[in-house]
Formats: sequence, structure tokens, C-alpha cells
Amino acid sequence: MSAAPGRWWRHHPMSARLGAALMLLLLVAALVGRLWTPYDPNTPGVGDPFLAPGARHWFGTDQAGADVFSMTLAATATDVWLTVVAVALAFAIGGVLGAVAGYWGGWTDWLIMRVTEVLQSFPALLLAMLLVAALGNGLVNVIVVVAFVGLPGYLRLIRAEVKARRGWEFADAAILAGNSGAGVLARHLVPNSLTPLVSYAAVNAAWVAIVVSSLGFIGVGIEPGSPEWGSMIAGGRDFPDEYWISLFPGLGILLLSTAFYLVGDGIVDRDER
Amino acid sequence: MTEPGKPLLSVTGLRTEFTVRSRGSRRTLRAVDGVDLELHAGRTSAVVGESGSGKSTLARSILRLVEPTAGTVLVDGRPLSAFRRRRDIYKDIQMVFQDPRSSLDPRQRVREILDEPMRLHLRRSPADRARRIRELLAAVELDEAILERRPAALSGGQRQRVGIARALAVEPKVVILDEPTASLDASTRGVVLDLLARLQRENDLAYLLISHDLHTVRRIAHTVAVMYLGRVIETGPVAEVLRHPAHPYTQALIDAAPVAAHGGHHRTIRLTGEIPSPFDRNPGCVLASRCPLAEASCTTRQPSLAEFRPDHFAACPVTHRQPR
Repeated sequence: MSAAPGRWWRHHPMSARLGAALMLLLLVAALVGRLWTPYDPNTPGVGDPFLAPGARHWFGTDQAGADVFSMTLAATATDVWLTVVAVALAFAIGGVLGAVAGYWGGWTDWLIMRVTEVLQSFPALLLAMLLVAALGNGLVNVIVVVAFVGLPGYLRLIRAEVKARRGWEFADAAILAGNSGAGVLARHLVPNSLTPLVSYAAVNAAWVAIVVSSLGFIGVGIEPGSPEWGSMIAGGRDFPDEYWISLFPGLGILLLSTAFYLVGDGIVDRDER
Repeated sequence: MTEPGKPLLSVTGLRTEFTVRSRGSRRTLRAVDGVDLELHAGRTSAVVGESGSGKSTLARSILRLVEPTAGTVLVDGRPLSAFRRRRDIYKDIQMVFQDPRSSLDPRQRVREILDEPMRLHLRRSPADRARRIRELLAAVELDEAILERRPAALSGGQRQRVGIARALAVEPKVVILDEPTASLDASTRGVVLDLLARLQRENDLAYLLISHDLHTVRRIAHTVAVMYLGRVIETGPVAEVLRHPAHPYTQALIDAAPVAAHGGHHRTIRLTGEIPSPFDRNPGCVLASRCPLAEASCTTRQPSLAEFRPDHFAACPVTHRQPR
């Protein structure tokens, strides 16, 4: 993973390269959206209401006359950021809990796995909606809930990896080298178990991007009024003729989700070759 | 042959049991059943036996990689409780693993593999450790160019040399060799055995060689213990035991080995049947059901080791009684 970009490129299939390129494009868009937009995304009336896409307003304007391109661009950072942080959080916490459960087994494992099973017995999207509705809207709440709901996948995956490698001779050799149990886990077992987790994280991020915007769509996302693709789609759903209000943020979600999915799929492909 | 001095490792009455649950019932598997063993500086003791004889579990029990059920292990005269932390015993006793492909972390470079035990056990300065790494490489006849490689980029022989160097990094007194050449091809095997013998002379190491290969045993071991179903059934100096095996099982083991391992004169023994289940043992001799010499008393009383010739012990009253 520490390899130079050129090496990464050569060692991955075309789908992963396309995904990486899309991801780069989205990152640039997120950065640009933070620094500059053609119009203020939060100000209505920068143009007439319901203007179709054209030279002055590339993605048209909404019912209040706000510039859809500026809003879409400004929302990119929100959706990308939410997705990345939620995935990182689920990866880290699920990774640690799963590794601990897989290595020590016994009642720790039993407890962690039973809680995980209870968590997984709810449909993930529904659980996320209920939790955010209960906790209240907000950036932090959305991140925590989405990470929490996504956690079992990471946990189960690394648990299985660690459990399988625990009996290998290099785990015994690590104990003889002076490692404590935690040392064996952190220095040897976890690093050797990360590759499948990384590909899973990429595929899972595609799903997280959709959940994040779904929460926005039904109005239990981040603070109402802040730019977010899901809530933008929701804002355009009463105007079926003015398709551009919903179409462009929808394309954003599609691109983000596709980018992650392609990269994840590409990593899986590479590992199976 | 008498063993000089105090033993570096002394094992008494070591027993390791596993509880196996199958179809709701709990059964106890006695993998190591009361083994006594002594290792001395500069000497090699071999433990031989078929797979399933408990020799690997014996090694892992001595190192506490599995927890023994009973028995004592003294390292240089000190019981485990005399060590501040359990892992401090690995400063004195180390192991060379059977398969270096699975015992070397595939993500570590050779430099880190050799550095880790010194960093964790000895807390030496980085400069000290770098100097010691060069010494170790020279000792196992490896080029410094391999320091930045990972195990996958090494040959089988190179990997096992790295495994040996890692075991020696903390300057242990006792090294357990778990089938050290089983994963190597025939041409590399001899070179690695010679290397191990030289390292033993230079560092006055005590080796415990775990092997099923009598050839290896004959080549580097001084004494040998033959294990069958968790028990030592014969023990003595290597040349003596291989030339005049006293226990029918040892005789059968030698007969089954390629001709080159022979050299002595004894009757040919052929065992019948399979190794019996390690569960549900009968009270008598562990070999009774397969032994052509078995008598009625063999199935009722467990024979213990008795001196057959000087320093040569065997647990078989039948051959003990017979004139040779």
C-alpha cells in the first residue's frame, strides 16, 4: 500500500484505475467546492427560479433561484468527507474489536460476536435511520451511526483472518521473539490481515455513500440547509419537470459510490489473480 | 557416556492433556504423558517418534506455547516462577521452527526479523543490534545483501538460516530444533546440519532435536529418546540405541527407515495395525495391541523404563528378560 502511484497503477486492473481516477476527480471537486463556487451555494435568487442548464447556470437553478452547480460542488466535500470518515471509523473500531475477538477467543469473543449478531439482525439502512432519528440530526451523529452500522462487516472479516493465522508458526515465533499477546496481534497478525479488509472497506464505502445520502434524502442527515446531495435530491422531488435539480446531485452519489466500488473490486481482482 | 555438569534444561514428569469435545461428550487426550528429559551444554538430545507421538507437543509444552497439565521445567536450574515475566524464559531457550515459510512473518524484512528479538528481549542500543545482526549473518553464512529482502524472496535454505539466526539472536543457552531440515531438499539438508553442529560447538549450545528422521538423529544427536503415544519408551546414547534397540517399537522404527540408518544387528520387527486411539487407552503397554512379542501381562501393566545396558533404558519387560 505504500507503493508509489506508478506501481499501484501497473499492478491493478483497468476497473481499479478508472475508480482511482474518479476518486481523484471527486477529491479535486471537493477541494474546489470548499474554496470557490461560481455563485454562493446558500443564497437563493442568484438567478431566476427553474432555469434549465445553460451557459450562465451550468446545472440550472432550483425553485428558489439558487445555482445547482454551486450547490452540487459545495456538497461534494460533505458527502466525500462523511463517507471517508465513517468508513475509517468503522475500519478502526471494527478492526480492533475483531482482532481482539479472533486472537483471544473465549468469553471476549463470545460477547463481541453476540452483540454483533444482534446489531446485524436489523436491516442496516433502517437501523441507521432509526438511530439518527433518535440521536438527532448532525454531522457527528451521522458519522457515528453510519460507522456503527457498518462495523460488523469489518469485525467479522478481521476476526476470521486473525483466527486463521493465530495458529501459524510465525505467531509462535513472535512470542519467542519477546512479544506479548497484544504485540503478536499488533505487529504480526493484524498487518498480515489487512489486505482483505482494505478491499472490503472500498466496497463498503460505496454502500456508505448511498446510506449517507439516503439519510439526507429522508431528512435525518446533517443539519437541514447545509449542502448535501441526498437532501438536494429530496428538494427536487416535487418538480419532476425540472429534472436537473435532482439529477446532478444524484450523479454525484453515483460517481462517488462507483469510484469506491471499482477500486474495491479491483483490489479483490488483483488478490485473486 | 556420562553427562558432565548441571543440566541447562531439565524436564520432569511433563504431562500435557487436551480436552476434546465431540458430540457433547468431553474426552481427555493425553498428548504428552510423563516425560523426563535433561539437556546439557554442548550436547544434543533427540526426540524421535512418528507423527502423533507427541514430540511436537512436548517441544511446545517446554516453551509454554501450550500449557502443560503437570510436571516441572527447570531452565538452567530455575523454575518458570523464578522468571519475572513468562516471556523472559525465551532469553534462555529458543526454537528453530520446522517450516521457515510459515514461521517467518511474510511482511517483515530479514533485518527486522533478526532485530525484533534483540529489541524486545535485550533492550540493546540500535548500533549494538546492527553490529550483532552482521555477526549473526556471518555465523549462518548469509550475505548482508539479503537484509532488505522479505522471506518470499529467499531460497528454502536461506530462510532456514534466517530462522536459525533469529533463534540465536538473544544468545540462548538452549535451542529446540523442531524438524529443522524437514522442509529442505536433500542437498541443503546436510549443509544446514553441519551449520547447526558448528554453531553448537562455537556457542556451547544445548540442542533438543525433534525429528522423525533417524538419519538426522544419527548425524547430530548424542542421546535419543523414542516417543510413542506421549511416552518415552526407550532412551540412551544414539549409537547404542540405534545399534541395539531394546524396545520392539524402536526396532520397528529402525526397520522402517532406509537401510543407511541401520548398522546394528537385531531381529526384524514388523508392527501390525495402526497407532491406537490416544483416547480410551488400555492400562497396559501402549504398544501391546500392535506388538508381535506381546504377552498377557503387557495388556494389564504399564511397563516403566528399566536400565537395559549402561545408560540405555527401555520400557519393555519382554525383551529385557530375553538373552540377546
